[in-house]
Amino acid sequence: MIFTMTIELSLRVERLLQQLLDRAEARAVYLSDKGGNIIAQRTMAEYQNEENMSALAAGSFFATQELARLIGEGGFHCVFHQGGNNSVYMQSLEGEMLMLVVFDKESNPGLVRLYANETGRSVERLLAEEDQSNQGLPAIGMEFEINESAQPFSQSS
Amino acid sequence: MAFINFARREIAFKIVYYGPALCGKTTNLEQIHMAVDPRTRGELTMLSTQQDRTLFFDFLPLKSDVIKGFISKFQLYTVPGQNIYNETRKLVLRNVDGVVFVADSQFDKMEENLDSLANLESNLRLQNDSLARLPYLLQFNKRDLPMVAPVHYIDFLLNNRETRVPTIEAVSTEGVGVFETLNLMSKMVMAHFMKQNNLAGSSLPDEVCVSER
Repeated sequence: MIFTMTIELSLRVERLLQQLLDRAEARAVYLSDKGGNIIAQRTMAEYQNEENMSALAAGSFFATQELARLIGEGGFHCVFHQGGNNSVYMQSLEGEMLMLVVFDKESNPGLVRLYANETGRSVERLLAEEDQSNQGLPAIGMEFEINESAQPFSQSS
Repeated sequence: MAFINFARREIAFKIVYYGPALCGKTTNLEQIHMAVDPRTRGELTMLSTQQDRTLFFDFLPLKSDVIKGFISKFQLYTVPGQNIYNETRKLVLRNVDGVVFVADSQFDKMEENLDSLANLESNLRLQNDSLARLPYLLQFNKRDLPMVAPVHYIDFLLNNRETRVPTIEAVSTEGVGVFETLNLMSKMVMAHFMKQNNLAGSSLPDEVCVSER
């Protein structure tokens, strides 16, 4: 199985994320899959190690789903971690996607949640329109060539 | 599940290091982080207890230019080996593209190796996956210790299947076999990706082709 993000779909999703970023006055918005792969993002601030952030967010969010099950819930739709200056809001989307919003104390957590909900539904509709399961790579005309002369990774000298 | 982002020209693969407690999974990632070209790696995130036992997972993002025209991202995860953390292991296995099973070569660890391999198979079944469909290899670690089992014995115990998978001897604390494992696993994952999608160049690298029993 493979998840493919075309350029057109990427632009449409990022447009939605940008709207959320502007309306919620957030610092960053990431859309990732359940494995923590960043699918799309819009950011106001430069964050180092975004992949680590996304992997940790996905791990912690889906760990809470098990916690929900243990207390008799089907799952938690959102998780909010509040810090002194910076906070994160995570919301699950259909297809086991995760939206992560990073915001600072200038933003209103209630508004972040409201706008994130709206954007989440729009992103879900957009992704549902794309028939991912029938979109094989050869069908969209892509070829991949592996550089067989080199090892993927080498040790620094 | 590999992920391709055409807008960013990126392909992402997830590789999980699995195995019994204290077999050297985290050490593999530490050695890679220490020795790999710094331009190709991100930060090593380790979620450990105060006793340095993995609590949640370790995570190391790497990138390579091995697929022409794309940035190939390999996300390396470890699982916590202790029995009580099986829910976490299930979580880390989600969307996995390839598994490195790190076996502890010491004689008295064979039962733990077998239990962990059975646990891996069981957790994969829960997500409708299996070792038969997934690229994986066996790393026989701790070959420098005095009471290690012969390689052919561990191979008989862990690799006695319809299709044998590649095995690599390692001393992860010294970096021996660590990059060999990483590079072979990366190639296997890419070959599997190409084959699954009927793409050109889908033949497996020579070292991946192993005889069937």
